[in-house]
Amino acid sequence: MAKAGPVITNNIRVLRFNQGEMTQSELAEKVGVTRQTVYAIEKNKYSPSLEVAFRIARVFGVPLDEVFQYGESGGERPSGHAGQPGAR
Amino acid sequence: MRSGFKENIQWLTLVSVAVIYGYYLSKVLPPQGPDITREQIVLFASMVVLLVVITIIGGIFLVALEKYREPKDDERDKLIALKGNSIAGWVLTIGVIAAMHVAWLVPGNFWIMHALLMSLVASQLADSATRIFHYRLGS
Repeated sequence: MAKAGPVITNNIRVLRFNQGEMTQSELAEKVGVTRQTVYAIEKNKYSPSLEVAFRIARVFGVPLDEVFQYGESGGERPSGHAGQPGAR
Repeated sequence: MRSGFKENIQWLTLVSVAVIYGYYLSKVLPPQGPDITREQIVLFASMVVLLVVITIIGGIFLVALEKYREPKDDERDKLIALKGNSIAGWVLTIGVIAAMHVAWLVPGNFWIMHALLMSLVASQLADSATRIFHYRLGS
């Protein structure tokens, strides 16, 4: 099955803007990762560990689900998926 | 994306290993006989020392360029290092198997020594190239 775009998305860019245009370097320093890692997370190229995700949310002072969202991948569902018509 | 300290270190390693061992191989190939000569051993030792010096000086230079001190290794760095080590391990394994065949087929110690050296160099190049690829890709 082909991968259809990022499943985990985030609002880090918006949250940084709301924090007085916090730079990626500043966020990286507060979270304890490199600036490149913040860049990769922000661009949805790297999904952080749960620990780093919580640390990012704590820096912005918001719940985790305001920073990260888990969306549908848009890929095919397995046939007979529960809740789909004709599942049983 | 602006490259970071760890990616720059990999570029330094990749280029210095390729240039220094490329120069060494250009000097010793084709071989003069079945065995390694004293001059080739001296040249090889000189290249190793040169590589260490360039890596240290280059590393100091790259640290001086950093605006702020990055954490030693974050989780993404460790993941990328694992990917690089994995590819390098495969390259080294293939190289060692090839060197075993060389030892079996070719008389003298020149080719077995250089087959092993080329395996180590190829393994290091594969490691650095893989890490740079993943740093560039963002993954």
